[in-house]
Amino acid sequence: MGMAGASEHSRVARILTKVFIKRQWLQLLRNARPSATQKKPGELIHGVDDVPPPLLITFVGFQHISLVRIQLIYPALVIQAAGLPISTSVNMLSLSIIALGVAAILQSMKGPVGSGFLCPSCHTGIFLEPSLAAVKLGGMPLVFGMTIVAGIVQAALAPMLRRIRPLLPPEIGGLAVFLVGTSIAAFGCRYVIGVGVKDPVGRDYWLVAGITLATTVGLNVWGKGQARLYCAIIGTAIGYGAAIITGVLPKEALHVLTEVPLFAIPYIDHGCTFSPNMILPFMVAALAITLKGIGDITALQRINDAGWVRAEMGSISRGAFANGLSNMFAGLVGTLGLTPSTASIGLQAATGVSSRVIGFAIGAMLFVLGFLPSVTASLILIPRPVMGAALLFSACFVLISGLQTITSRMLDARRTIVIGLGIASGIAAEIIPTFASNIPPAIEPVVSSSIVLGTITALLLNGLFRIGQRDRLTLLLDPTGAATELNEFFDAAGRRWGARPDVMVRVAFGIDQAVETIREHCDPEGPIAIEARFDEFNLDVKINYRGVQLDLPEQRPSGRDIMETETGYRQLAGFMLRQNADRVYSSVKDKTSVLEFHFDH
Amino acid sequence: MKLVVEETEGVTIVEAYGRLDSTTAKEFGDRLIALVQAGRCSLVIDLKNIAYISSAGFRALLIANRTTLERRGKLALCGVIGEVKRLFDIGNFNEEFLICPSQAEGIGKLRA
Repeated sequence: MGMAGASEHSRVARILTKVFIKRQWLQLLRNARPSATQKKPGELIHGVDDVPPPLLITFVGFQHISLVRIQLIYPALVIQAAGLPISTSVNMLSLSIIALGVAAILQSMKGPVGSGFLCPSCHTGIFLEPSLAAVKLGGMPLVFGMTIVAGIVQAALAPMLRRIRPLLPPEIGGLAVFLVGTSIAAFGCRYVIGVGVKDPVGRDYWLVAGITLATTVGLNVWGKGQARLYCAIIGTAIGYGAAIITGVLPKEALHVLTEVPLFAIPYIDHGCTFSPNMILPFMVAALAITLKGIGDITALQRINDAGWVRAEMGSISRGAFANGLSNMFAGLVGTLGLTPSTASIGLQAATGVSSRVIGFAIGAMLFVLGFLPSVTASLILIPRPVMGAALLFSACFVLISGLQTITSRMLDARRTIVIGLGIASGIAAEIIPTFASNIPPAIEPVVSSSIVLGTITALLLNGLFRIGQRDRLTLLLDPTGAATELNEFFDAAGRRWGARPDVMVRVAFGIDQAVETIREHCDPEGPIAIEARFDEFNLDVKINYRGVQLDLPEQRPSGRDIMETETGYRQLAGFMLRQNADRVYSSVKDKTSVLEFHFDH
Repeated sequence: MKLVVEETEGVTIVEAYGRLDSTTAKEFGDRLIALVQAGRCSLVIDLKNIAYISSAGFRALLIANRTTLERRGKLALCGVIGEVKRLFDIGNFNEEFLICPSQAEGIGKLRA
């Protein structure tokens, strides 16, 4: 490469440094702070920053591991497509488990990297199609190389996520959580019913699913203390026993354990290759994973914070960055891409244990398991109906959490359509899998995941509906006009903005009281002009009128003054207006008085 | 606004409906004073169906309370919930009135 080329490269590097590192990354670092403002919900037994007893950490850790291991099916499918020998396959699964361990630790960290939640990762179907295409084109080295590329894309996207906040209002965050719930529920239903199982399923299969679900639900609803805490693991253990007794898990299957060594050191003996033809599918997959991660981490925020109001983009960005690094690591050691495990989020909601310390324990346990192929094999043996019942149970909590978030905002027709079509397209991806069959392979990752398709649909519609939408509204009010006009104005404004109902109630009172006081005490001439401005964090209302300036005293007048003097009565109104808003200002210029109210949103 | 008045165990219950603002407060206050002047000096005012109360409404309640006390009677409020409760809080009116959780408890307090 000549000097000119080198100089060009160094210029590009400088620009990239300026754009990405200097601004976005510093912002990411600045926002890496502990979740001190989170309020632990009453239903959580061990919250995100609690440290449960060691035995509990181990038990719950194994529960999560049993969930994430289900998705080892995806590297297994790609191994099958590549026609690798058994020894290589077992080695690759061991490396996958180690990558899962690294990802669990990265996500549990609080700092510039990591969501700061208990957020174990798993393999995902989103990478399946691009990986199978890569296998055909260039074998496993190309899969690994392109997985690294996807990780780089994701890590580069991470710090920019906070910029899309205006495009991601809370109800869309709620939609993503709801779709995460439907995805868990769909997995659970398929496993419980027996869809996609090689051998025909029958009464015993469903009996095992029923026993597992009934035990878990029964302990969660009527159990107390330890029984409630361990409901999912007790249900799984009883279901496992029932599967052995009924023959759903044949005894011969257990013999597989004797065919693999107890201990083996995983090795890396592959290369990494890259192909420009595979960049688009892997970039789309990286984008899809990032969007899914937004939903997953929003769900974790919701579960861990009783006072949750809106998605906090800091932990989402850092979580996406951790996911990007995990995928780079996965590609380097030789496995497929990873994503936060949605089922694990459901498990946290179900068990009331969301301590991120468990994430570190999961990382350590997975690392050890990576050296124990026989145990890895036993994890794969957990019966499907048992796992299906556990997933179905988890889905209940995630679904309701999403619905609560959606309905926590006032919704007008636009927002109703955004959410409605988002849900409809997400469900379409779940129940009509053939939907994706005629789509170009490059965008298949987008339409094959309900979470991704539903969220993208809502984001695009939201972006479209934002065109021409004003965040500033005005009303000219006749001083003799009825209060209903004001109420209708602010109700419509709240729905258009998707504002919090509790804040709009305060706004409605404040403006009602102000207009009432202006009419009674300030001798207004001409109309009263009301201007309201909104963004996700602020709601400001300005009232202009020609008339006497209104006092906003800091002290309430005495009861006697209120009853006996007009001044006391008027000052009570001013005092209540001051107390009702987060900030108030009163001024007068050229006989035009101005009242300004600020409400934190 | 609508007022429903009934007598229970020697206590007059006044259930108020709608908005208590500058256009309705005078009529509301006058009705309460009329009841007290008619000798019904034990009053429980149920506000659970009030959607909005402004400074004018609070003034009417303060005057009714004072008039009742002057007649050696008692006035209790109940149904102070939701948005009305918030407005009592921001106006620092919780200490000015006898506030009871329900009509039955209000009656009990006035009969004690």
